[in-house]
Parts: sequence; C-alpha cells; structure tokens
Amino acid sequence: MDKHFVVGKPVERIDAYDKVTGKAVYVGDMKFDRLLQGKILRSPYAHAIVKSIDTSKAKALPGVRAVLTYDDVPHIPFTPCGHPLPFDSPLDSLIFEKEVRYVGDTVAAVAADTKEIAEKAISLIDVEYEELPFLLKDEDILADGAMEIHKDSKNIIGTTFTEYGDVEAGLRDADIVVEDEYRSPIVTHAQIEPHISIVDIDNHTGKLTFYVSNQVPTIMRERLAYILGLPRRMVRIVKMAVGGGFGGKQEPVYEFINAVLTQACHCPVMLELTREENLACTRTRPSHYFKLRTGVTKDGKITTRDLYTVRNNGAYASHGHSVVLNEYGQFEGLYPCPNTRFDGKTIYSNMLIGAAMRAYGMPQYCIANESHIDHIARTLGMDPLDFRLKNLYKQGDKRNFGNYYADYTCGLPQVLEEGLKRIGYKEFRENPPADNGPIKYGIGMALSTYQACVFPFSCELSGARLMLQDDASATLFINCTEIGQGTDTVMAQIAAETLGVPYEWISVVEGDTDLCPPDMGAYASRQTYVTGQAVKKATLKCKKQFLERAGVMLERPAEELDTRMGMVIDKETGEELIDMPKVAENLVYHLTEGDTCGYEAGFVPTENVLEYMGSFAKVAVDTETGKVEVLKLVTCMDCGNLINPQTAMGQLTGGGIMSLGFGTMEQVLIDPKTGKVLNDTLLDYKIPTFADVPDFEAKFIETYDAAGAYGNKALGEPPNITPAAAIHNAVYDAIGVNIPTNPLTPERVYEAIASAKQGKEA
Amino acid sequence: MLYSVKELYRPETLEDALRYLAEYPDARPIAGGTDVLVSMRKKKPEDVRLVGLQNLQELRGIRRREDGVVEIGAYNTFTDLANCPIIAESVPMLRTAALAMGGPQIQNAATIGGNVCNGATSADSAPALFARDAVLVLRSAQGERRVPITEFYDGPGRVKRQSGEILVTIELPPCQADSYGDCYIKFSTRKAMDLALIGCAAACGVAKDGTIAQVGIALGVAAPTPIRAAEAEAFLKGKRLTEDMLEQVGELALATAKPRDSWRASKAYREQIIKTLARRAVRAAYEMAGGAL
Amino acid sequence: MQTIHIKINGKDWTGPVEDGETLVDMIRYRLGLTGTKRGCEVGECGACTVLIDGVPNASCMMLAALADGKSITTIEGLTNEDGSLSPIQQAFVDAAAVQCGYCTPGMILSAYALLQHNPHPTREEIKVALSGNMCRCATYEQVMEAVERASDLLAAAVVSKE
Repeated sequence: MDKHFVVGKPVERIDAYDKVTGKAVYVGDMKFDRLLQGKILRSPYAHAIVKSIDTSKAKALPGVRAVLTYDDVPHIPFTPCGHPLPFDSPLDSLIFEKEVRYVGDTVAAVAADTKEIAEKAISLIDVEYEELPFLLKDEDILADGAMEIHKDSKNIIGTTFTEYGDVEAGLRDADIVVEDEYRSPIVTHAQIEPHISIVDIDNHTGKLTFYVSNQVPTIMRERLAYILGLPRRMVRIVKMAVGGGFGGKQEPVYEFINAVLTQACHCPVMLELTREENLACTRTRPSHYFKLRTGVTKDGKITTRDLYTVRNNGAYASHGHSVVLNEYGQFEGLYPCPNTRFDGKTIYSNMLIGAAMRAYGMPQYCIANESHIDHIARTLGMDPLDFRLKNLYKQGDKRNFGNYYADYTCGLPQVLEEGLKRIGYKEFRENPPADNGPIKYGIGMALSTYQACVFPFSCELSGARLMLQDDASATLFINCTEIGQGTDTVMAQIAAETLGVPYEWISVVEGDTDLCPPDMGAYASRQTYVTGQAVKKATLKCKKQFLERAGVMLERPAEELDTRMGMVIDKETGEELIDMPKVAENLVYHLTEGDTCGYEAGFVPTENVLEYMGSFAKVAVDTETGKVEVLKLVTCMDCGNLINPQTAMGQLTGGGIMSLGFGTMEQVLIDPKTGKVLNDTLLDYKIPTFADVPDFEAKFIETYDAAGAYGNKALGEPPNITPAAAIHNAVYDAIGVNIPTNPLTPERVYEAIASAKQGKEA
Repeated sequence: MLYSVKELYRPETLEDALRYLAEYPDARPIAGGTDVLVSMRKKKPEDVRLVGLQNLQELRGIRRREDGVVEIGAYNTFTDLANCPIIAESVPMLRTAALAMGGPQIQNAATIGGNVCNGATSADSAPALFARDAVLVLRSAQGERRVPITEFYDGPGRVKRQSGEILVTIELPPCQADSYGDCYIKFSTRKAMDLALIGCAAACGVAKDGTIAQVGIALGVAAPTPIRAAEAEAFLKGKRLTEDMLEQVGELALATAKPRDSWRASKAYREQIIKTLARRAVRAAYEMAGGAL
Repeated sequence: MQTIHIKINGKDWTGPVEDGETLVDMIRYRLGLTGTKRGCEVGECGACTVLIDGVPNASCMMLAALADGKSITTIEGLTNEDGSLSPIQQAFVDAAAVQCGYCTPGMILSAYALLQHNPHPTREEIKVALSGNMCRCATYEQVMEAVERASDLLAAAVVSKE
C-alpha cells in the first residue's frame, strides 16, 4: 500500500457549505421567468379500462395551458428500468395507460399557471372507467388460468432456475432438514424531497432540457429520448442537488409526463409530486416471498441449500427480475456448499411498482436467510455463532453461485471478531440477563456479502474527464453521480491523490449530459469502484503529459519525476523540485509549445469483488405489548480501503438506521378490498426519527483490495442490509419465536409471543 | 400551498372574534393550524373563512385560582404546557402528554384548545383532561357555557362546540385527597411524530392510610372518543392498591372500552394494550401519590 | 390579500400575502429564500422548519398572515453577512452531518434553537429536540456529533469573550 496524501483523509465535503447555508440548488429552487405547473390524473382503481375521457371542462378553466391524455402523446412501449442498454426488462409501460393497472396509474396530465389551478383542472376531467378484477396475492397471480395483468405475460416478469450438485439427494441424505418461509413487506424510499423535475424546451430546435432529481443522467438521456420518440441529441439531462434517491430515482419515474406537457405548452413545466404521491405512486422495494430449505449433518455442517423466491413487483416490471438476480449472485456469499439450488421468479400484480431500493433485494434476503440460519442452529441445539463459524465462507473456498467474484480480500473474520466484542456476545451468553418483569432480553447477529458493481451482468462503463488548469488545479467532469452519498468529494480526492495536488485544487462539474462523459450512474454501490477507476485513469493521462513538460523544464526524463501535494518531486528521493503551478503555467502559456492538458477516460471493470459486513444487536422485548427496544446495535464492514472515512461513516450509520426502519416499523399497507395504499403520509409510513436512533456503534474493517483504484471496494448500499436481520435474530433470541416477516411492529411481536404461549399451553 | 381562503380574519379581542363568528357561523377558528390546515389540505374546501385566534389575550395564560382550580387558556401550545411549573406540579401527566405529542415543531404550534376541539380520540391531551374531570369554558356572542370534557366529545372528529363558540379556558378542579399522583402512557410505534395506538391516563388521590380517595382513568383510541374507565375507577375507590388488584383493573378498563379493528392495529391487540396500560398507569399514579403496593 | 409586517433574518419586511398562503410559500416564492424546503406540507417531515421568535415551527403549517408581527429566521439568516458560517453550520460541515442535504436547513435551525436555550444538551436531549426533523439518509449520528461540536465551539467562544 502506497502512502496517500488525500485518499483516506476526512476532507470537507465539496457540497457541505452549500447545503448548510441553503444555497444548494434542488430542482424546486430553480427560478424561471415563466414556469407552469404540472399535475397527473391518476387511476382510482387497481385495474380498469379507460373507456372515455372528457377534458372539456378542465380545458375551459382559466389558467390551464394543456390537458393531455393517451391520444395526445407517443405510444412507444418502454421500460423505465434504469439499466444500461440493451433493455433487460419487458417493454410494458406507456406515458398514459388505456388499461390502468394500479391505484395511481397515469391517465392524463395538466399544465397550468399554478399548482392550485392544475389540481382543480384535474378534478374537472371526467373519466369513464370499466372496472376489472385485480390481483394482489402471489397465489392468485400464479394460479392456473389467472387473469393476465399484461397480455401474454402469464403474469411472469422473469424466472431463474439454477442447480449445482444434487439438491434433492442432498436433502434426502441430510441428517436434518430445516425449512422456513419468510415474507417481506412493501417498503418505499420516502426521500424527504419528493420526486420533482422541470423540463425546458428550446423552441427553435425542440431540444428538451430536463432538470432532474435523479441518480442516472446518462441512462435518463437514452431512456427519455426513447420514450418520447426523439433522437438522443434532443435530450439533455441536468441533475440538480438530489434530496435523497436510495434507488427510487434510478429511472425516469414521471419526467416524461412533464416533457410532453412542456412540448405542448412550449415553455418550461415543473412536475412536483406531493408526499402522498411520493409514498403511494412512485417506486418500492416490493414484497418478496422466500422458502428456504437447508440440509445439515448432525454436527452442524450445511450440505444442501435450496431457495425458492417470488418477487411481487407490482403493475409494471421496471427493474423487475434483475433484483432477484442480485439475490442469486449473493446466494452463496456466506454459506457455500456442494448442493445448491436457486429458483426465483418475479411477477406482476395490481400494486404500485417495485424497482431498485438500496441493496437491491439483499435486505429482505438477509433477514430470511439469517433468521433461517438461526433456526437451524437452534434446531441442532447449537449457538447461532458456532453454527455460523462451522459453515462460513473462508477465503479461497469454492462458490458455485457467484463464482465470478475475485477474492483478493475478505474481512469477514475481523467483522465477526470486532462485532462480537463490541456487542458483548460472549458475556451475554455466559451470563444472560434475567427477565425484568415482562421484559425479556435477546442478542443476535446477521452477516452478508455485497458486490461492488454489476459486472458481469450489465454494462459497467464509467467516464471521467480531468481538465488541468494553468495553475495545476483541475476540473473534474463526471456523471456518476452525487445524490448525497458523497461521490463528488470522493472523486475529487481520487483525482487529487492521482494528480498529486491538494484536495482543494480539484473542482467538480457533474450530472450534465451535455458536459460530462457517459457514466451508468449512482446504483449498485458502483461509483467509487468503477468511476473511481475512470477518474484515476483520466488523471493519470493528465499527469503523464504534465510530467513530460516538467521533465522538459527540469531537463530530466519524465520517468524520474513524480508529484506530491502540488510539487514536482524526484521519484526516488522525494526531493521537491518545482511547484506544479509553474509547470502548468509553462504548459499553457509557452509561446510555441503551449498546450491544453485535459483527458477523458472510460473504464469498464473486468472483475467484481465482495464486501463483507455484519450487524449485532441487543434488544429488550416487552412481552405484554410486543414492543422491541434496541438496546445496542453494532455494524462492522469490510469495504476495502476508505477514501473518506468521515463520509463513509455517514453511509454506514445512515444505512444502518434506515435498515432499523425496515426491520421494525416500515411497511406500505394496501387495502385488500381496493388495492389502494392506506398509509401515504409520513405519519403512517413510519421512517425512523431522531428519537428512534439506538445506541449504535459502527466500525470499518479496512482491507486494501487490489481491484479498486485505491484499495477500495464499494459502500453505499450494504450498510442497509444486516442491521434489520440482526435485530430480527435478537428478538428471536429473546422470545424464542422466529417471526416470518418484518417489520417487527409491537403488534406482530405480541401476536407471536401470544400464539407461542397458546401453542405451549395446548 | 395556497389554500382557498375567502378571508382570514384576525381579531384583537375575544369580543371581536365572537362578533365575527356570530356574523359568519361557518367561519372556522384557527389557532396553531396543525389540524385545520391538514384537514383543509385533505378535504379541499373552497372559500373558507378563518378566524385567527393568535392575538386573543383572553385565551392565553395558565393560572391556579385560590380555590385550587387550574385554568388553562385554550391558546396554550403544547410547549407552553410542557414549560409551565403549575402544570408540572399539579398535573404532571399533562406535561408528559404535551411532550409525547408529534415533534417539537408541532408542540410549538399546536394548542390544547385546538387539540380538544378537533375531537380526535387520539388527541394526546384528552386522556389527562378526562381523568381530571376538566371543564371546558366556551364563549359565544350569546354568553358563556361550561361543559365537562367527558360530555364534549360527540364522535370521531366531532365535538359539541356550537357554531359561534370559541373554547376559552379549560379548568381542572383540584385533587382533594392528601396526596396526588398521575401518569400518562402513550403507546405508539415510533418514539416521536406518531399517533397513539392507545393512550392511557390515570390520576390518583391517595389518603394518608394509602386508600384511594379519588381516581380517574381515561383512555384514548379505545373508543370513537376518549373515554373514562368508570368500572375500573369504581373498583379502586376506597381501596389500597395491591399487586393482585392490577389484573382486574386492566380487565375492568377493557370492559368500558370499545376499540375497533383498523389497519393501524387490530381490536384484539388494542385490547391487550388497554389492559396493560391501565395496569401500568394506575400503578405509577398510585406510587407517585406515595402509595405502596 | 392582506399586508403584513415581519422581521425576516433581522430585516424588516412589509408586503402583501394571500389569506390562504402558507408561510413556507411566502418564504420561498415572495422572499426567494429557497433554503427552506418543502417535504410534506402537513408538518410531518420538518424540512420546512424555520424559527418564529426563536422557536422552531413547521412553516408549511402556518398561514403567512398569521406570522404578522413575528421575527422569522431561515437558514439564510444564520450565515454571516460575509458568507462565513455560524458555529452550528460550521459544526455540521466539520462533522459531515450533511448527506443529501434536503433536511439540513431545518435540522440546523432546530439544533440552533436547542443550543440557544440549552447550551450543553445530552444526547437524549438532542434526539428529542431534533425528533421533528426527519432525515432519510439517517445522518443522525453525525448530526448528534455536530450539535456536540457546536456546543463546544460556543462554549469556547464564550470563554474567549470573557
């Protein structure tokens, strides 16, 4: 490991000043001379045919500038899925639907002078619907002869079946087979900034500029052009400050609707969703069903693992089956064994749309699998820790699923050691706390792996351009993109480290498809891993030319020179030779040899690596009310070398508390009688508040991985995986019941305790 | 958001406010706005008339009269309640309730008068006011009317505030027993920004010999309106509280309650919480009053 | 329409507002102070928090006309004239208590108000005082650290003045 000067330092976030002063510009903060307001008319039915629409009253309302329905817009079937080309999800969506498939589906839209007029106009549109039966539950959707939500789909978005070894034989020959079913609820991103965009138009060329709150500018440009039937050169995406993404802004959600409104009105239109729309009509982490069967020997060795999973994705495919494929990739991350089978499918239903959400399938898989592991241990009479130790992946072990992961570093043993120490596992087991009246105590853990990008499944291009200025400062152009996780800061650190200048010398231009090179964007925790390499590559090109000029000036071969914090130095001795700004000045202003020094680079990874993390929880359960109090939560993570330990910690603890929400309070509730979302407010869709933050320790286990630009692996999503599962297992430990779902609301925990008691009495 | 408001009238005196309300009986008093605006956003009424109560000094202040009655002006925010030494001393559970309500921003704006007049069974102030036999003083252009809070609620979101009336003061009669204790327990999923799934308040006046001289037990969200658990109270009156009696306190509290199934919680679960909270609140109130189990 | 008079970030402002206009809209659109965010319009998220006479309030839950005569502080009012940061803002920067940033202005104002009346809050007091400001990035640990840092900065400033 080289000594680093900028990498590994807690430098100040590039965007911190703007964000603490209120100067950061989010889409809603932009000022235009004239800006119309858009509003969407949504289906009140879970499934219906739009028979007719009468817009005359709405159009007659003063201040209304456009009312658009199916007949007024392109009918190009598309997938909004925020994946790079080629399309890997069914083309099942339209701008406005004639057959609406969930409560909230898009029927028409209005642009008006004010929001209030737009809202009024929406209420004046008369729609005649023919209601159709609707499907919510897996078993109804998959039943023989079930109504098809999308024609010829059989309600299936995708299926995967892979088997290694012989699972049936393995289960037959096992000493013990343990079986569990688990169902995770629908949850949603609940970004504090609801979805918003402004679309402007150049009325001479027709070119559209989208000011967006979005994670994937490059993909947005391609996809919006496709949806609108425009050449891509007619679309520019400008990403503003983003008030939270978490996967829910990793695709066009409604931007195409204000695009058609803008085209109709020839002036910019804003479309800002309400909180209710944000919670009930955007994107979700949909419900997953898991059935796990594991065969073990008497002494606790796993021989066979069998997983069947169904993702109930809602009305349209969006990211669809690829989320199940992520679970597929991690299936043997922790517990490889000879016989393994993965059978997964993704299905349609008449509910809001499932898509990407932080850690892409893994939070729900982790609770299902890790509580199953605890169940097996208990069945065997083993401590869940001992059972894990007997079966956990060790560096060099063979994996069938996920055999494409490189294996340079594995901090799993240290993750376990540190986590167990911090939670006090041994002490708890040796000296378990006695019940305190109705309060019972429990301890639990959960482990997981996560990838660093989506190679080899999908295009993984990242791009960067570094433009050296005449003072050896530099401007970095990237599209990877900043949504609060701190990528601008980290990329600036990588550029500064590579160029050999102080961090403050790098400025970043990002999130603009007319200015910055293509990059697949912010998802899969990929930015530091992939874009980090692109930044390094582009910077190295600059550095090469720069050192050549320095060599000319110093009359020494460039190969003997290096840079360090703004100085050109002797590579061997470290002796400082000349200020970098002097060289940069010479480079630009030389009478005959003046030159620019700016380079762009694309990077595509040819390997993928795994992070390892674990969470450990201690809980108190009030057995009279079912209320769970998290007394202590610990998360440890190996994500390679940290580029910025301070922003990294923000991800680790923030992701952890978000996971606590998933585990204990969050769920989108759907009325089975209507298909309507019941809890579309932040009062009833419960995300953790400050008061809900437990005693939380987070710790990085730093390794230095050969695959990353500076020893790093990946970070953004995985902190959101294990905490909920650790809490789940701690509650299991406290009450002796493995509750087959989340969140562990007081009511659910109480019911589990009560029915276990009844079972015992009976 | 631009609400459809025909007029926002801002009187400087109660008399003027009452005059305006007499002229426009449909006008809606607005105090902290935390309930009124939420409801307007949902129901989208048009051309509403609002009467802002901010400047009415008659609605402010918290006093203890010579006869021991605590008078709480209707325009006291939950923060005012939480910071008031008279409340902390004479009805500490109301302080607990004030701090359990919403979050700081809501506590800073929402008023106890608005909380009562909104008529929600989940109102955080209601169980404490019920348990202490609060009396509401309402004024209209016609004069003054006094209504026990236990008779004020009419159904979910409905109260017997007549058109033209403004709630001016809430009176809490003093506890006559030798010592006093109370307790409010709000049961909710989150620790802040949440509604009560069940709220339970217990107020105990305990005689020197440890017998319960006065008792009020009230429940929120246990019925369409806040309620008193009269049977449990009758059972406790004149007795010394023992561990064995608590079970029955829970059962009797439940006997008065009529919780319902909703997507927020099932009836059966609410029943369990009612029993548990009643036991715990009564015990805590009794102990606070110096009683020993 | 009515005319109101307020103090906004220490400066007098007199102007017309609609009777049904919310304070957050007045601040954002009439005054152009877009540091105050909007997240739910029903007082549940805290993004629109401003200080009214020094006390945190949800500006989406207040009609602008009812702010007549009050002194309002927005995030813009905490920054010094020369652009330098107040101690609480500096502490948020130093602790990296900022991620997506959308809740940040409201969070900082709540923290500022807390430190005004409680210069050395415990972690429990911080959690309670900021419990009306939801942060979906859940930057809560870092905010806690920031409030503690600001508390130290303010204490040091008092000592140096003395």
